[in-house]
Amino acid sequence: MRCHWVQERLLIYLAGEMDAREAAKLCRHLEKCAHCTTMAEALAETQETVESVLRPPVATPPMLHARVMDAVEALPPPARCFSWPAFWPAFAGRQRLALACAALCFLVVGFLLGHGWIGRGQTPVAQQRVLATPALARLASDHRQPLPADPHPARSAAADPSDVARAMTPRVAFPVRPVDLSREGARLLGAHKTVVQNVPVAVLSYEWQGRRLSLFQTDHRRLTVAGLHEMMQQGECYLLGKRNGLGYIIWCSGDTDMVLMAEASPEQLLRLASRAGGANFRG
Amino acid sequence: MSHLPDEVLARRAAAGHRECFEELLARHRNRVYRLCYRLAGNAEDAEDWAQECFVRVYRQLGRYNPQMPFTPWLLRVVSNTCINLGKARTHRQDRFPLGIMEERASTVRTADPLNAALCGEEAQAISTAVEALSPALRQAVVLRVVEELSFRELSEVLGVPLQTAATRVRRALLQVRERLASAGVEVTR
Repeated sequence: MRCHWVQERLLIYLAGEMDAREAAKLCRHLEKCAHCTTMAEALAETQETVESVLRPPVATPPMLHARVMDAVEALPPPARCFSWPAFWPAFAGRQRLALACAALCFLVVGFLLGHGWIGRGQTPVAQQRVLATPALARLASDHRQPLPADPHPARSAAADPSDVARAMTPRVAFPVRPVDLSREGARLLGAHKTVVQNVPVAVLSYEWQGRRLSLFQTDHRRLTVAGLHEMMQQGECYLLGKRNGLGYIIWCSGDTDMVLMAEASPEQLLRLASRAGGANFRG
Repeated sequence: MSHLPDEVLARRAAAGHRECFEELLARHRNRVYRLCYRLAGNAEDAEDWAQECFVRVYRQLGRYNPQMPFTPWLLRVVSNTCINLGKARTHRQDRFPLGIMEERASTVRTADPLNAALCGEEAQAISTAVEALSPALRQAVVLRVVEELSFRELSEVLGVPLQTAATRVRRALLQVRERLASAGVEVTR
């Protein structure tokens, strides 16, 4: 047993508040260590001296009670503040413990998020940067596929954008936006649903200048948020790109993310996208 | 109402029952004033400080958890309020006396003059030594000595672990002893 350990606990020992086992060990140390014994005597003497000066009783002023009540009468009732829940045990320092627990939880969640061990379903931003490219590849693959052979309810002869959007909405479980590109010479052929990385995607297919034009719509920030984030940081409202001969442009319209894709330059698609978005177009 | 424990009275006082607060005041005014007196250093400030402490207690009753014992919470509010009032006063004046000399002056008049003079000098030296402590150490030693709190109670009042509370008191006593030795005052039983 070291002297430092003993001296840190001498007052608790002298006050008789130490548990019996520790007290016995400390007592054995005192029997052998003159230095600690001297320290114990010094502390006891000094405490007695200070007590002799500070402890004598003092008379409370008789008017104190009335003064306090007068002051309290002028106050509103005490404000209710935070109260500890019943399940939280009562002990000294629990506020510090609660703060420590909160800090620990914060660190653990941060660590798990950072390593991608949780929140996979919510596709955190760091992951979406990685997923953006395979997602685009999957969309490009869908774009090159022939239109589904079976006539879809949305593939009506009329192919009215509003009707198509209304018919697709319950299938993908998010509001599909009607996009009319007829003024740009694009004719709506129909729509179908696809799933990319477990995210439902509504695909609106157009014929434009003899080429296939696909407009993919997904629920906001479920698939294309990484691109949109990059676009925002650069002060842009959209993300342009070209890959394997396909131009694409990504933007956000209300709560829906849009990907427009065709065998065309991104600049050509940009003109379409800006018109397709109309008043809702934003970055 | 006098049969109700402090914790129940505090809960009712927090709900706006002023008569319950008055009962708490009647129960604790002596110990609160005594603590204020030891930390303020004179009777005039002590009365003002005690009033301020009770007002602070009343305002903070909404934060009190009735599952916890009332007295440690009360002493914590009071001692922290005194420390803050002491700091504010220290800005206005250099010294932060402990009210020892005032008390001694009133008691030594009838005693033996030589003994009284010796006691006065010794008390003054102890007073000076305790006054020179930092607020945290002074708070710890006054609560331990004046209120006779156990170290467990002291740790609850100070909101620190038991060992930390004991360390503060030990450091305070050692510093007092050192200063008394420097002043040539021998500490004996």
